Amino acid sequence: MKLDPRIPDGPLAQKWTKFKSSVRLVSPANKRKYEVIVVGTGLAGASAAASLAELGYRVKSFCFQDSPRRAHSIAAQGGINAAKNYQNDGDSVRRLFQDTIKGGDFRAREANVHRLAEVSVNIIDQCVAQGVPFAREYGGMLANRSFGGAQVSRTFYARGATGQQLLLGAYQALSRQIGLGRVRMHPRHEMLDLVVDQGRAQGIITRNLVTGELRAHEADAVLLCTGGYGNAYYLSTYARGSNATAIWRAHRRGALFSNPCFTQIHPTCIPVSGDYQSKLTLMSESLRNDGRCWVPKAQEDRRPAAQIPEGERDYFLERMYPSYGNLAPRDIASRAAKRVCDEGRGVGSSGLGVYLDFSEAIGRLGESTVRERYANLFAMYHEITGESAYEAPMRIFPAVHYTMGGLWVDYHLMSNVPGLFVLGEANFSDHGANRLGASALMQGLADGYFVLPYTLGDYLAQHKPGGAKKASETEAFWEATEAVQARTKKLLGIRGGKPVSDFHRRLGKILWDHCGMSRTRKGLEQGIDAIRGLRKEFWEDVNVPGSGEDLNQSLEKAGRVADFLELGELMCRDALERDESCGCHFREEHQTPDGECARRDKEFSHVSAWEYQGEGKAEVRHAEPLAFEEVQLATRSYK
Amino acid sequence: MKLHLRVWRQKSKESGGHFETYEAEGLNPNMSFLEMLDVVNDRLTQEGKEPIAFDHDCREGICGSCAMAINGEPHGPNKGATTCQVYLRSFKDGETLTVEPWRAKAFPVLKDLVTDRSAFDRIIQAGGFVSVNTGQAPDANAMPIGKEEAEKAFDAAHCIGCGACVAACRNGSAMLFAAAKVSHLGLLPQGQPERAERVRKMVEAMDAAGFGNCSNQYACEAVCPKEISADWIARMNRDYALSLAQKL
Amino acid sequence: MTQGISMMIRSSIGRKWIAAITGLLMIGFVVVHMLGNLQMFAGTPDKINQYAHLLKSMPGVLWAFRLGLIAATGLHIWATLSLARENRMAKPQGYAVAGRKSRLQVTLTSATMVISGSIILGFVIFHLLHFTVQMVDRSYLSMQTVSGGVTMPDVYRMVITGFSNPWISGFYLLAMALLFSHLRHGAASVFQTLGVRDRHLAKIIGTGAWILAVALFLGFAAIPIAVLTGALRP
Repeated sequence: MKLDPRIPDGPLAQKWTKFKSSVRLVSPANKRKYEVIVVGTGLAGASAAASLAELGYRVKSFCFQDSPRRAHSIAAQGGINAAKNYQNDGDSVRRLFQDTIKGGDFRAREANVHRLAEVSVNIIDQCVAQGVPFAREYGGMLANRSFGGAQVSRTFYARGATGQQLLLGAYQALSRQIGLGRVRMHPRHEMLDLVVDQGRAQGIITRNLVTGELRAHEADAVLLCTGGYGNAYYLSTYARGSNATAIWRAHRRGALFSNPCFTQIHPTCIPVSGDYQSKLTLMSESLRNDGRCWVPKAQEDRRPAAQIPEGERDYFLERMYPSYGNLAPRDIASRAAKRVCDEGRGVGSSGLGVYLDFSEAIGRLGESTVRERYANLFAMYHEITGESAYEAPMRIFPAVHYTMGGLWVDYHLMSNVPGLFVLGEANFSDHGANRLGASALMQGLADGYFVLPYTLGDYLAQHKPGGAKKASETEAFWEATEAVQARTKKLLGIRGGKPVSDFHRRLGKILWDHCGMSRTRKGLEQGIDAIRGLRKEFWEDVNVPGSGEDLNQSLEKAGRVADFLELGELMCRDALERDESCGCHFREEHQTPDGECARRDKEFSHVSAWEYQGEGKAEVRHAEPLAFEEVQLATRSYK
Repeated sequence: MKLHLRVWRQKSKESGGHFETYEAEGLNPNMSFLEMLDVVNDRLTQEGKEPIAFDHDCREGICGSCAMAINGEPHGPNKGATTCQVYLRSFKDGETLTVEPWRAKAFPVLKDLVTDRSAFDRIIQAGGFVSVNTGQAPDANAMPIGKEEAEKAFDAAHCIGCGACVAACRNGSAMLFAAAKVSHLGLLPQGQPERAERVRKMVEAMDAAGFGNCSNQYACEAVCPKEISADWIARMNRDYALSLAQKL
Repeated sequence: MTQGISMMIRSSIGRKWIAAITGLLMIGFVVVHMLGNLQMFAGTPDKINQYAHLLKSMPGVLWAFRLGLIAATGLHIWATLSLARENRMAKPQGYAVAGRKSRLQVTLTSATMVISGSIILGFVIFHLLHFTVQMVDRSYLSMQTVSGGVTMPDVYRMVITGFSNPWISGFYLLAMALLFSHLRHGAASVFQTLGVRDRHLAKIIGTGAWILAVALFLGFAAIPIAVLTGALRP
């Protein structure tokens, strides 16, 4: 299969401008004849649905939550990057582009990333106009902070709830269109299948989570904005409902899955405290602006932090990466934390933790300034651990936080299935093998507000308006509905001995152990075997009580975990086949003498794209080569 | 530790409900309240019974999904915390906890502890936004906003739409929710052009949804997990009167 | 114009404004009324009798005030009852266990506004029949006195006669206690509804409302107590 990324030609910096001025358009009178389905209402989905409705398209929007406002973008804490250079500290579109490419360890597409950097400035304008209360300086101008992987301050923020404020901005824009009748909103609806007919995405099958009703929805194009799949690991910073079902079902219908093994492990999360734990909580990366990471120099040093003298502390990030220090990128910081814990120098009762210490910042800035910057994060930490970070250092440990992998899309954000577009974290596009902090919000909103409204028009202009067939009249819809019905029946019919959570937890453990921060061929092979065994056991022994005809949360979870059990295997396979280290993907076989990633650019400077072959059959790996014309492939160094 | 639970079970919107009691044993005080419910649910599943349905998602206090009253207290005993941020160390070993869904006509129970809070969405749809299309925005720094104004707007905008205010109010009033959004946008220069119309439309939608009226007792403020101030209600009352005066 | 009036009448906040403004008017009236009453303690019956006579000598003004008050009362009752009815409908079911945080916010006085208001209304009707229409005790019609050469009703004697009856005094004291209760929440509430309360002013407003309510209670209650204890005598 030939993967055509459809990158416009011309110099990198002019590609997007050129694309916009030459793209096919749909006339205003025709726009209302097209119907577009948007699945998911996070930053990407809400911004896309609102923007498309503003343009005049008829939009149907779906989310599994009870309200579009609850999508998990809401939980992003730290901020959003934009190349505004308001701080006059040398930032530019070019520099944001370079930082992102380098941060992703040269595994992202140049053209996409450059476009992202270009539109980043429009995002801030748009959000401010919507009333997003970003932090301000006393003079009334927007404030910035710095984030990992950058030497400029380009991160805009709203206390520790930037995601919330951005999402509410998009949600409000979406709500306006719902109120105007241009978007029909379907909350508590889960997409369970994609309908592909005559080679094009034509609609979706949804389950009404309250009544259990299955319904087919037809449309001229389908947008998946359903987020990442990090919940495959069970314990993660994702929302409990975050799932891969929409993209996985689309994958089974032919959409290629790219770089599934690229999962971001975030360095600053609250450590696991017990087996019962359902969720890991992130402590924003912004804390690393003022917090210093350290562990005792000696192994098994069980003294309380305050009793360990300065000389016996190892500020390991500052030592290992003097130029970026505590603001080293996430993959690097996470691995460094893992390394010191593996050496037996971890802190806390489990030994799986490092200190994030604010005493120096409190001494330098005063407690009130620290409180002003991070009060809600400190409060969150206190709620969960019962400890005050004003008095003793926080204990943190890496946790699964984001997935750079996702459905393959071209420059238009369209998958290889015509008419199926994928936005935000659900696609693979912009972050390569590691995402920089404050770039997820940027990408979600860039895709939804500023990229898709152009590229979708280009696609629709090639298809007659009103071309979507009635779902009830098409065989493909019947077939898909019946497939969903059969699967639901199967899940409910097993009545085995174990609850869904049991399988999910075990899958998570397998993935964390074998496909986590550090990977080996042997481990991945074991992981694949273990997942296959677990999947078999699941379909024989899972217990899903209740019926399919009403609100049944066990059934919802079962369907999602069943998909994770398939995706988990693909993640391991992708990690196995990518026989190099890059970004988050650290294969122990490929490391530099000082333990850093050793890329193999000649063999692996490409995007993997997996093609589904059918139940139980091995997927086929395709590759889209990455051409670097503007940036020099270099060994990433933050030293 | 262990807890005795009395949990509201209700099959559907139409059916009646009742309390059922469960013993939760072998608990760790560092467990969150929802993790305790997970354990109870897994046990119910093992016993072939239907688990307790409850809304939850982010489990870090920001999505606003989780919504239940513990001993009559929306979100439980802690100040400024959602249900998912309540840990078992907040309770005594052996304590009896009565767990109920939000009680308000505008939030009908769908199943067990799950309620329909779409009335909140309708309030926002009526006017809780700035009408600016994508692409229309001027440069972000073109309009300076004082640090304190921005901070105040954030305080109001921090509402997570969980509905605890309605749940705690003896009148089932949504004034705190509506006022927080009216004030968030009304405090900012971007919100000025639609300020009068916004409050009028949002209050109209609020009234139509079957919420009760504020009788100025501020239980809403006391239970709000984001500690949204009832001052915003006064502000909305003022805004509403100004809006009304324009029509007189 | 009609849109504004319809908004005011239909919307929750509009009716709250009506309740607050009419409440304020009535507070103004009871304050003036109490100050007038305190002339009972002037040491001579002439003071209050002349005051009453003065009011009666301006029937136009008097009736304008009376009609205004009747309208305010009517609007206050209509607005608050319609709000209260909606409140009951909005909360068809309470919690099996009462929550501590939310319970602390609800005071006895704030939870009983309809009851205290209704009893006060009942009292006002009785009070009007008693002293204004003079139907309760027909002998009032013949109570006349001469002050400064003018014949006028002997209000002083009517008051003393009325409050000598412990039942009447008792009802009066009960009503004044309820007025205290009603105003303690109501007078503070006005400021929130009219949009002038915030967390800095809350304490001042709350204390102010309490002081006003206490002052009114003491001012009104002083007369029947004085009559019953014999401090005021014919």
